Amino acid sequence: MGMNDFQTDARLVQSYLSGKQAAFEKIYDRYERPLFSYILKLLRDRTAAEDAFQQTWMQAVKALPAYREQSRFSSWLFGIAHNCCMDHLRRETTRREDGFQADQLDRREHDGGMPDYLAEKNEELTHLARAIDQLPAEQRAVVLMRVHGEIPFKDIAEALDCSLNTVLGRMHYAVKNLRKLLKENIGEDLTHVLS
Amino acid sequence: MSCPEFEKSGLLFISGELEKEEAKAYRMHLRECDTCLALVREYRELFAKTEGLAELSPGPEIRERVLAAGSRAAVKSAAGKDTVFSRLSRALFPAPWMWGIPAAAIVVLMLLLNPFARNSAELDDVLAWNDDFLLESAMIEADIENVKTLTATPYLEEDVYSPVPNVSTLNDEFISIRNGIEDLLQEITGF
Repeated sequence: MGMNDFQTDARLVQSYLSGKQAAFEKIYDRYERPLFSYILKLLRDRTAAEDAFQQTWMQAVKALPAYREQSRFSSWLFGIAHNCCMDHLRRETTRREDGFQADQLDRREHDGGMPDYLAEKNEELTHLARAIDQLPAEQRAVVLMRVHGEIPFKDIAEALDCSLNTVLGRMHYAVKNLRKLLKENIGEDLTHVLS
Repeated sequence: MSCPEFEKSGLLFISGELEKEEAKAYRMHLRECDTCLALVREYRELFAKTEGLAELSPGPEIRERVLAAGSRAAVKSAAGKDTVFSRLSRALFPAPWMWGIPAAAIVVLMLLLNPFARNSAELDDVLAWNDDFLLESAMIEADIENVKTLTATPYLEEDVYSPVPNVSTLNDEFISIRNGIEDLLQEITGF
């Protein structure tokens, strides 16, 4: 996503706020897939992801009149999405009686077989998707926001409401873990797999 | 394998988030640090590879729902634009029922000043003046007729009356003025 897209985002938001519905449709189409991919791969559950995705847009629509262009629209939107995911997990925690914790993202096991959202067009990418899926939630959030939102690290820090150093630290750990996971999964060095 | 410089600047360098001078300094460091150079290459390859990861869509019904919500909000937004007047009115009358206060004040003011009654009195005055004017003009007209008759009658010594030398001109001017005033009155009164 280039700088023009960010400028267009701001113009589309202005246009939508002046009452033009078509502008909202353009914004939605631009972010539908990146945002849903982020949410689904963070929550690892399609039904929950669809709920959180809708909730994100409802909150965004409500908050758009207060949106200021100082922060880029993508990081603003992904920040809302991240909060919706966290809310979803908190609700899950209180609903379950078996001590299900807020860090369930790290412990939830797939029911067997590979979830459809990890299916990729080739084996190398499938390995990479699975390795990302195995990362701790806070590292996965940074990686996914970078991968699907193409959001700069400084803006990820804003979206996740933490310091830049925290985000950079999580990313470094994420890459170290990916290297390790890929080695374990396919027995090869990360650089070899990716090159 | 790590380098404190990479921990500090490596990721920001790769994502193009370093300031110009910082990027220049890190580029100089890369010439001397094989560790950083290897890490930058590895991270770049990783990021390039992740670009190939599939992106997924929610169900089509969700798109419809979100766009409908956006549409409703757009209509609301267009209808309720935050103008200076709306902000001022919210500040003065935070609750809708408070609008009753100025409304009641206007009704009382209207009853006290009664602009319709005042207009009615003014109209009566104009109509009365109109009647006076018509009466006066009829009398003047009669006088002119008398003058005309007198001037047409042979001069009698016992008649002390001195006729106006150009009665016809005077009569025409009078009629013209009278017609003008009547038109003006018609415009004012509407009949």
